[in-house]
Amino acid sequence: MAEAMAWIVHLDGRLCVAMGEHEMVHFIEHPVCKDIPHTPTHCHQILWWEGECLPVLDLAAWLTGQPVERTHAAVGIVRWQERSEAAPQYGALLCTGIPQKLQVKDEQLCDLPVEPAGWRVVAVSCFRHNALSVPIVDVPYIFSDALVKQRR
Amino acid sequence: MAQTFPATKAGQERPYALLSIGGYALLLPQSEIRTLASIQDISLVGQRASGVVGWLPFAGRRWPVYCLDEALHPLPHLPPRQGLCALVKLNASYFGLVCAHVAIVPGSEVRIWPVPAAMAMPDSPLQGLSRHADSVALVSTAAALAALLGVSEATEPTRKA
Repeated sequence: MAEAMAWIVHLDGRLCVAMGEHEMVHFIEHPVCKDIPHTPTHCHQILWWEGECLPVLDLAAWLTGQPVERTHAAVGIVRWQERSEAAPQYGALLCTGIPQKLQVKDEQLCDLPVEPAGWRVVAVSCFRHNALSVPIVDVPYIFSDALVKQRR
Repeated sequence: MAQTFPATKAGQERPYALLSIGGYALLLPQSEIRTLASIQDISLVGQRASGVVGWLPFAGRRWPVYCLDEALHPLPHLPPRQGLCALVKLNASYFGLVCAHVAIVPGSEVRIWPVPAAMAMPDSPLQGLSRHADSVALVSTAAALAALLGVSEATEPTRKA
């Protein structure tokens, strides 16, 4: 039976996602993000981190199609590679609360939630945790230009 | 650490003009700024749907002047504390941008990041992003701003009396 470590990230008070253990590299509470004009509403800010310019993605806003209010905004700094030999790339995923690390087993596999419908676009799989369906998000995909092209 | 979205160093031969406008900064190639004028040199007009706040005389003609807000939308009026007009060169014509300060930045000191893929919108006037103090400078060009504002060679302003 296969097992893997994963992070659970709460996007807002209702939606959460999971990602691989090595895809989350840092966590920042109360990030200082800068608004950038002529950008999509779900990704309209950048964050300077380690001398780099990171896009700040509000996946909950994209999934629900509306702005999300967070009383305790935070970002998870995520990392991905387009190809195994490519340089890593980084982005900031807006969330609330502290991500939770846990072990996931094959037997926890379940169907994606029906709503929001966007889960079928951004998630590669899903598992059950404490009576909650937790979609596993495709990190390189959500930080590509795909969500702009599939504007909700 | 590897770079996320690799930034580029501007060439040393290509300085930039940093326009401070309200609470943000706009970075344009210095070669695209023809001259600077005082705001008092502008013939102000009433609120226009075109976004033109006034006309600046230069080289025997008058050129439209715009004032942009933080979203790079044209304002219908001049905000306070904007004392300068940078005349931007667009091929054979010009247009003005109202600003508070203009600084020349050597290309060697400018690091430009491409707009991240997740943020890039078609028809955006942004050509990149740069760090300015603790904030961000929006990198653009005369052509990109002209497209945004609807300024074109074909619609050069006629001489005003």
